[in-house]
Amino acid sequence: MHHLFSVKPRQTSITGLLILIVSCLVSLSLSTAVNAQSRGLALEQSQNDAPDIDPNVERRDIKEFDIDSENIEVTAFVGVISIEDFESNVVYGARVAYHINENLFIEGTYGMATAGETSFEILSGGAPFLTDDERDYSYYDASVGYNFNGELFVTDSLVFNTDLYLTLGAGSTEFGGDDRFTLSVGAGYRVLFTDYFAVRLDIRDNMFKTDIIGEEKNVQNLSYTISTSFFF
Amino acid sequence: MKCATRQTNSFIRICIGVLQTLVFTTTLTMCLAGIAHAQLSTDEASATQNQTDKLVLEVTSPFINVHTGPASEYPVFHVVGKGESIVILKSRTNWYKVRTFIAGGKALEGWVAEESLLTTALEDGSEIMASSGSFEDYQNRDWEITFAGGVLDSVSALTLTGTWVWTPNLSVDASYTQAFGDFSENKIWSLRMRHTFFPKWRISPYLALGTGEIRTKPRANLVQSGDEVRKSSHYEIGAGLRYYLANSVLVKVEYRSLLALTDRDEQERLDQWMLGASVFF
Repeated sequence: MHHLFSVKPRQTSITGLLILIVSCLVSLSLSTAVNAQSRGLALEQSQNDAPDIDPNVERRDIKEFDIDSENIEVTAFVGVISIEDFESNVVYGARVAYHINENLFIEGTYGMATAGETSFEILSGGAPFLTDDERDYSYYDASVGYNFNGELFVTDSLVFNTDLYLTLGAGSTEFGGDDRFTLSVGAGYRVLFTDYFAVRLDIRDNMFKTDIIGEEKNVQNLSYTISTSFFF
Repeated sequence: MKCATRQTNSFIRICIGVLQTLVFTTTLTMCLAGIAHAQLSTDEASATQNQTDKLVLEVTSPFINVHTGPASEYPVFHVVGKGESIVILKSRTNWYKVRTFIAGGKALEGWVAEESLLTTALEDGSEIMASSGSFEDYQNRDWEITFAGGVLDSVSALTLTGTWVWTPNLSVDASYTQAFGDFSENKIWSLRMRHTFFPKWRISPYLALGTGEIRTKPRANLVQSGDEVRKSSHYEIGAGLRYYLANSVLVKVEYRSLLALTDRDEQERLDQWMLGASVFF
């Protein structure tokens, strides 16, 4: 442009204007052409790729596999419970546990026993303290347990997986016609003979306040139980 | 002599008790074993029917460890290399029991962690996602069971709740509470509707409205206080926070206020605070 202006200065105004107009037109038409082309590209692209908003979303094909998860443990137990002041007696019941991870589990327990007689009742031979119904002893609790995973080596080649666990929980004990808030502390040992079958040994201490034989006091009822459990 | 006979009597009673209980537990375990076997066989049947549906995975990371048990503490006794395949048999918490084949075509079974499983792919190359008890599963849960402990007007109280999750926001609770007072014992059952404000958040507040019945029984030691159980219906309003912890477990903190419609002239208000854990299915 500069060159043109310098050669023919007189024609500058008209020619310049013409050239300007022409160049403007050319550039305009070019730019529209380019625009059209780029739009075409964009169109092509949009046909190839997913646009920003497309109501026809293609479904992702997800295959689901049902894997048998065995996190629930059902236990039946039998053992001996020492009911403070009321002899030692047979206790039996059931537990259901849910294993949260390799260490933690939560467990619900329900147990039943029949209390014996106090030494006073036996020695005096007098009237019994409690009616037969009131001697029915039952308890429930919900506990949190912590597993220490281990192994039991019976021989070099016979090895079972085991858990030594501690539990802490709260619940209620029904005895002598009253329900009492009960704390439950315990420890146990679980030997897994197969992936889903285990034998357990448990020691539990059920603590609660009672005034069944006079002054209110804390009682500690210890139980030793053996149980079989299945994982589902 | 009297003592001796009494002791023998109680000894015989214990013996009979032990026998009864042994029979009971054996029957129970046999029933359970029956169920377990039934489940296993159906599993096997379905497995043989849909052989193609068996989950076979190919290891894509350099190697994955196979443990002797479903916990990180158990020793690693085998390593599956890249390109080798494993068959998934079952899971326990975050661990998967797998079968793999070693030289000579011998099958070998062990446990693999979920993190290791995520470094495998299906035979067609597609990725693996584990979802049992995950946050995604949590969004689609139908049932919850909650056990909570706390105080009801300054006495210890325990609450068991079963929940049906109706929509992501709305759920229906049926709960049973036992409160252990010094002079009386309360049993409260209630049915209520709960609204969770932000169901897609890991931690979310909720509000609940419900009704039910309170049964108050005087302690057995109270001198002729009357053995009758007092019943009164109640309305309740509750507010709480629930938090998705991990693996199908939620933690809840809740306050609820109960208005007991007593026979007396004035109504009674009870406040309960509780902390609990839920498992969802």
